[in-house]
Amino acid sequence: MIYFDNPATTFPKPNCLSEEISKCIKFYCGNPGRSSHSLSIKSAEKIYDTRALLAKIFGASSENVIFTYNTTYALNIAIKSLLKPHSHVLISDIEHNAVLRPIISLSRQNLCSYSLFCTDGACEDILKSIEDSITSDTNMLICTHCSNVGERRLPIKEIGALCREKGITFIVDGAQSAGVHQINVHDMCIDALCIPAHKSLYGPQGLGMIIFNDDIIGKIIIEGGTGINSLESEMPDFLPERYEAGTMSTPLISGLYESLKWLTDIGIDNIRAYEEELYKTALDLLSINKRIIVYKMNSYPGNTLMFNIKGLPASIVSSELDKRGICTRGGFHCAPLAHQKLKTGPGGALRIGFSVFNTKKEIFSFYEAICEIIKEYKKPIIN
Amino acid sequence: MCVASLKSMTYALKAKRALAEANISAEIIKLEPRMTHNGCAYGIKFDCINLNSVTDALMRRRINYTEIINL
Repeated sequence: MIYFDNPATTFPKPNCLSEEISKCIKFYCGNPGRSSHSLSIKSAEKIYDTRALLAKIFGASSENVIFTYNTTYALNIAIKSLLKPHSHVLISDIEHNAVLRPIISLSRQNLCSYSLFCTDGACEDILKSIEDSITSDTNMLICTHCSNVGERRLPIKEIGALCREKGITFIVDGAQSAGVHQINVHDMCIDALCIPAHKSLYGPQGLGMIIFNDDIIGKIIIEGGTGINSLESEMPDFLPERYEAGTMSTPLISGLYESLKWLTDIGIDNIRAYEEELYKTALDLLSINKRIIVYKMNSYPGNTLMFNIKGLPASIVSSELDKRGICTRGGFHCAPLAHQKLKTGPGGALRIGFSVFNTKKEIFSFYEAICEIIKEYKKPIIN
Repeated sequence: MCVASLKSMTYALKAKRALAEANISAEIIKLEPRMTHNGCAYGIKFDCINLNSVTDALMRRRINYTEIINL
């Protein structure tokens, strides 16, 4: 099987992930931070070590790493806890529904207004678009680091510096970039970085993180037990427990620790260089075929490619590839704004993305399969 | 033995790691109800002979303890 649906979830995973999850469930999965017996302490230690490693990778303090279910939960918590009522929010014109839907919902409740800034052009063009969109009420900017529908990467360091200068809270959706690009919340002036475990950190599904730059005391979104101050009626006023009600998933978090060690041993820069090489190979092949439209927002490489075969819905191409043992994703990828921008048409587009486990040989096999499908469907099904 | 009471298990673990780096042995304990003001809390237990080294190490890492309890 060839797996190119890595922007949704990387697969396969390093063996150390499943080994540690299994080990945790079999040997030490007590309830972390609730008791003082050996298994509870061991579980809490594993969780703390994972926080500390994430903090080291992303330039934060260990207590500012918050575990959630996934990036969507992380973004919802970060946005809704840090949003000041009746303020103006800026988001980019390529945001995923994980940002777009909460912001639209908040604006419909009259809790905020929002505008889109344009991500076309070079860094200075993007910064100008942001500056032109800032009003006296703007106090939050949310944007993706790397788009999930292409290779578009936003200059978050420069955007962060601008937000800091203007006193605007800066939230970054790092779903596609964490583990592929270096991100340092301190150096990049990011107030809250929201990331998943299951994509390029090669961790398990069902786990995401908010990494706060500072000891931010925002509004509480989820309330419940934290294992401390149990006699008080309110949530703690410090991190991470303020945002971590209920039992954390020790097996998933312990597994992520092992994946992170494996990842950092290979090196984030090495992984990016390898994936960009695969991307260039795929782009070169797809670009020479006249039946294929490749959607690009940039000239630089990424690790995610969007394309369509002219006249064929992406869902049919994806299904045909699946019959040949190749996993891809067709459709709209939960990012309607980016699809509008790319003009991908009524069937969306097909997405492929690479991980460290893919090879050039797999890309050649994939392209052969694409050529077969083109031969099989000579007549267009859609315009 | 002495106990430094800390805000949470996360801070207790942070403190334990900081003390390990300073070669000071410490153990995480759940504080007894009489030692806490607001219900469940954690602390790190260490030999009182190391009290100054412990407070120095915690201060260096900016780990605030609520109080030191002499058991």
